[in-house]
Amino acid sequence: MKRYRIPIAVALFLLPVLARTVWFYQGIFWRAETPATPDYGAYVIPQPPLSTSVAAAESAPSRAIILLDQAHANMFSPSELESLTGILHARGARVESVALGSYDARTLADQLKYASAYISVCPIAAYSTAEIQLLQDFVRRGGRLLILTDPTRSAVTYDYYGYGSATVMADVIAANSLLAPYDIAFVDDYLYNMSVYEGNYRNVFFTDFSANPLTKDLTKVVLYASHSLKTGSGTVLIQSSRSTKSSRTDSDGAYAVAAVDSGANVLAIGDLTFLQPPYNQVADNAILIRHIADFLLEAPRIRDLKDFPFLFQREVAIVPMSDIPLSADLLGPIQALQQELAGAGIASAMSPGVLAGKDLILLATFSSPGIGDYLSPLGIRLPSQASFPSARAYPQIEIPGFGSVPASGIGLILFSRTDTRSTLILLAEDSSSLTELLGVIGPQGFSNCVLQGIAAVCGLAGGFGDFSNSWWQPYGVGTDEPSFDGTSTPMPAG
Amino acid sequence: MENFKTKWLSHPLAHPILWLALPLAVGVLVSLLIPRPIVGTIYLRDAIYSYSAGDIISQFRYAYDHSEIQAVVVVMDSPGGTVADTEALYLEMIRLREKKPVVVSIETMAASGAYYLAVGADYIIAKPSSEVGNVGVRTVLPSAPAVYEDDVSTGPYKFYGGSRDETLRLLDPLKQSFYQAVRLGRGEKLLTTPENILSGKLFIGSEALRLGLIDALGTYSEALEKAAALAHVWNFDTRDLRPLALGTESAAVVNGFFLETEDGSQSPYPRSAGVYYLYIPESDRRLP
Repeated sequence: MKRYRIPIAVALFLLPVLARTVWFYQGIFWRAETPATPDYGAYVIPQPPLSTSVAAAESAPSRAIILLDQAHANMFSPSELESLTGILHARGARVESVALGSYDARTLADQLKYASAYISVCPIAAYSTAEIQLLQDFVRRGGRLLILTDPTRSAVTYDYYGYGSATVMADVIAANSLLAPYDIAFVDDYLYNMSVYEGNYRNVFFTDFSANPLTKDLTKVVLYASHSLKTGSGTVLIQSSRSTKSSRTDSDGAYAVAAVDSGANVLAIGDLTFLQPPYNQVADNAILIRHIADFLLEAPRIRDLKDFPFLFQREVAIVPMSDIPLSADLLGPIQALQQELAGAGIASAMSPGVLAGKDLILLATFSSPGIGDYLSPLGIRLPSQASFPSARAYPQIEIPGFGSVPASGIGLILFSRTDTRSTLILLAEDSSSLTELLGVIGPQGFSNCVLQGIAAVCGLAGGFGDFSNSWWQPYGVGTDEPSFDGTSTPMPAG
Repeated sequence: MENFKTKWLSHPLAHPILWLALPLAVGVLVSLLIPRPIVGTIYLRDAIYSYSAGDIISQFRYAYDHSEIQAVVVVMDSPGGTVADTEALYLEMIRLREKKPVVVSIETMAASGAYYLAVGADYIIAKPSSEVGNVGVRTVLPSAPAVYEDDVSTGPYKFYGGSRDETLRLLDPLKQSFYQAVRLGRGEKLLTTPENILSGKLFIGSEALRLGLIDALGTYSEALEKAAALAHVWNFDTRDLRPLALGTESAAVVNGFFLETEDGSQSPYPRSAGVYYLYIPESDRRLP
């Protein structure tokens, strides 16, 4: 028994120890491996892809005037467009602001007369119907419209006095009102790509381009948060890969971000940031910006009489034909005409003949010698000289678009542009009628005239050409020539 | 007295008692030295910033240093916070896990940096309606560099810390490391795509469970039991580690993280600009 005492004692000693241990512990916590942590040193800050170096093509100097809309609460600063406007300036173009509250009294209608292109960036305030129509007419006559939007440029207003709710005013609403006639519409979204991006998920690579001068030489561009857009009849220029998503649906798709209308005069791009340093130098963005500048500068702007006095690109020589005596009656209206031109920044001077290197305003009568040389290229056929000045014979003038117009009591204003010169011809029955014709020219254009493209037919108070007599029968409802009793309409005294 | 001792020792049962009772008594006494296991609880009910992170790191260290703390449950209700403090907490938690299991119990929210911390745990339990996730980084880009007449510096970015573009690009490696932390923490249990996780979505607890962002739906009590089970202990005691580590019951708000509005209420915006693993509710995304 004695020899078991020690083991028993030890057992008794261990018993409570083991009991307590087992009471609390089922086993031993043992972790074989240290929990892994991110390899923080392995992550590097992503750098943008280097821009593709392409030498700028030689471009002809331009005197185009590009309008920059700043009258619609546009959410940008002009400095943000410097990469684009810098090219425009370097090419000789001038960028002019369209601003509200400016001391410049020129209206949009006036500015569009001399502009080649109109840029609208992130507009928030709505365009009026009149503005939309003016811009439509501008585009119809070859003006170019560039509309840039950006999902980061919405205006947010807060209801500080209520529940603090926020109202977001997206730039796409006003932009879409301009684009609606061209079948292009921005979507109020932004594009993103979670797997392939330039530094951030909202900076999307684009490698899918349609064949177009605006996408020439492009292999990859990056847009930095871009609205998508839709177009029916227009041409999609830049489209995303299918892994790109729209914030509107969070679904994959090939989204368009740039498009031109079917007439190729309206360009819509859903990003503004790509124009700003350093993003203008990423990938092929610089090439795209240069193409946009070309698009603005190469507007096939068709000048017509609506654009008066901005029909001329340089100094104008005012040339009376040889049968026009520079009477005191004529000099006054000529001086008024010169003032009108001067107001538009166009210098003018009287000249006895046509001068090389200058534009031309020709003062002539229907019977001026050699006038036919100027008129036949315009398709205008005058009656034979023998029929003048016998107004009773009612000689007819054939004007394309107008048909036959009686030569008496009217004046014609005609415009032509060739590679060498812009020419405005003021044509009336005689010198006194010409004086009256000069009087219809005013700051608002031509009064008492019907304008149609390059020709304006103006009723002169001294004749029967008042349109209320309506020799002009646009609907063909009457064929009788107006009666003429040979007396002039009495002029107001004084 | 001498007689009593002689009489007692001469008793036939005296020796067996001595040999049996004494070791047993000593054994009982020695067994009392074996500490009752404790599952410690650490509360993160604030944004993660220098003060809250400092408090919690002290508690992690206490748990690390004290053997009676066999496991830790971190109770979370946090929108996240600064990147650096989140990483500091995460790395301290990983260090603790080398010795002891850690379980996270999510109350209302473990968003952004709080979820970053949660994925460092052995096990994540949330309520069915807890908000979980919001993986990603946020910051406010600095202003474009400018110069001032009176406020001068020695470099163009002294005032700003970097250009807007550089600041934007900083986010990507932080996002990648966040995602790697999630991937390392959740491993095979993760049942959704990186894109879905990195979208920044907040998931409710039941959805988070389906996607593998958490391990179970349950209560704090279940979190304690899970922590004990992982530590292989039972009949354990529970302790709030804050008073043990810091000697105070509740966090002393030295400097609040959030900006106060003019009426004295707390905005969801941090006081200072910076880079954050932080969720800010959309309805409050308004600068005061």
